[in-house]
Amino acid sequence: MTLRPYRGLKLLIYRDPKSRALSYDKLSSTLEDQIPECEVELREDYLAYAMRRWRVNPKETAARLASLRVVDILRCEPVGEPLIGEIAYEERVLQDPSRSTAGILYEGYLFQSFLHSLIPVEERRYGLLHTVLTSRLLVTKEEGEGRAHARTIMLGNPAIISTTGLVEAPALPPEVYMGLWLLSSPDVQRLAVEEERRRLGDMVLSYDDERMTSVVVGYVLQVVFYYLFGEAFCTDPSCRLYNSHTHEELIRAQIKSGGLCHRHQSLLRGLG
Amino acid sequence: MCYIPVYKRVLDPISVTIFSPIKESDITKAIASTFMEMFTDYARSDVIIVGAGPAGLMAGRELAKNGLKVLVVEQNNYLGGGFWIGGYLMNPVTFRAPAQEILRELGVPFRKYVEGLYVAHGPHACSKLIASACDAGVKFLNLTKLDDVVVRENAVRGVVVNWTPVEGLPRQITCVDPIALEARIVIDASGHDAAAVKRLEARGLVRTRGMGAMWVEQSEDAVVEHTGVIFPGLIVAGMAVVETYGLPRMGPTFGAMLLSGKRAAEIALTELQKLEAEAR
Repeated sequence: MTLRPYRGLKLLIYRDPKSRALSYDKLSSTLEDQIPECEVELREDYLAYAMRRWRVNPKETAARLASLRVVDILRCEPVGEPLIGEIAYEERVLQDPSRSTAGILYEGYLFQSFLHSLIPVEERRYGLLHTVLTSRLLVTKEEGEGRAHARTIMLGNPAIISTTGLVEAPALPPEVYMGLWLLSSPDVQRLAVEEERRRLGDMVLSYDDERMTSVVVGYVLQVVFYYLFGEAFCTDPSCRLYNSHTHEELIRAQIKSGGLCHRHQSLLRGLG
Repeated sequence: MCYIPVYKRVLDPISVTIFSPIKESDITKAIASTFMEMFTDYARSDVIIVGAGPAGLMAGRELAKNGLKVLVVEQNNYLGGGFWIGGYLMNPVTFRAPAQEILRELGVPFRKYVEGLYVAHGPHACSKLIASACDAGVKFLNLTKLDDVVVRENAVRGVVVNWTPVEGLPRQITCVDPIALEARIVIDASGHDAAAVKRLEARGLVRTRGMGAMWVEQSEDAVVEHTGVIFPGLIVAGMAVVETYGLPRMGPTFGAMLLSGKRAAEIALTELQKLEAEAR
């Protein structure tokens, strides 16, 4: 249970300029309906906002972002010292966030920590929850393993929800991967995965999916529960707080069910 | 009037020959003098492009259309790189939108395969691109391999090249020194070799990341977005971009190569303007 008295929540949601499928009006109205005494404030792209309102230096930001890239997915380490072309790319994306490409990976914890460092003191008070929607793909390594794992969400404040992660991180049905054993070349394997995605259609979430807004609502709820109660996830596969590892689980929790389990619904009601 | 079929005239020793009589030495002189004329003129170019694949050809075409002296060095005898073949030795080549607009510009016939994906015949697309680059005024040195880059005042200002066959022969009988060609800008479009970038890396002037895992859907955008200056005077384009930045690998699609070439040309024009402004 929350240790502090609940006096309402201000959700600051930063837009993902790359995602065409998201309806922000629907997102904010749904969240305000579901969370008692919650006010949603929609803001532009996080870094664009930080540069414009918080006077963050674009050149330093570009260099820092470039240093957080992960190139070797078997060793999930940031590159450290960036190449000038990598900094130039970040500068271009900072000027026009829609130019970001999902093929670039960033170390998730360091990325989140960097975003946190940009928040001015006056915006760090309790009750103010920064939630960043981004098309950047974040990766972290699992404990005891060096390999990079794509993330859908980074919990905390700011919390980060990766719209690219929602598409790329959850696993496809196991038979897709079993079929890949028959294909020797990684090139052909990747093409086969993309073909399978197309074949699976509605069974997986895609980039321009009209269901993206509903899915993001569920992930913002995970962010809010973690912030208020210290627990983001639920063991009930039909609850929106279920920690989905596959597209099948994600579609079930966020679309087919689309609601909270009884316990989490009660917790939310209890706030009001 | 009696018409004699051509083949009969050729075979008939008493009939008139089709082609003009010419001395063997004239043929040799024609080859050598034409080559030397071009070679001398282009020993100093505005832009030298390493690699005559789709990105290099496209960059060269765009720059030559802007009136620049463009020389392309290609290690193989043939031009076009991997653009002749689509994948798995099958020659249809694919393009994701909006790259079909370039095909239209080049006059390459294509058809829509599914929404957003277009297909053309490799030989047709590749030969049209080569022809278009030649028509624009690009000059080529084929069978010419990059040996090194010329670095002056912390900027790339040319390339050092040798004939490709020299490399394949035993060093003790082919101690053939390379030669240098100067340019104001060099574009590395040498594909996975990233030949010019690797030469700078060997000197400790830049670093590369190596190629990442394959991710067709995202790699094309990333290649175009990372096309640019890697070191003063050196622009990286095409698959060399993937190798330089460790971007996701591409599948057998060519749109990014064409667009990357186009962007490299735009960047080269801007860099040349900067150089001219500095000179003034």
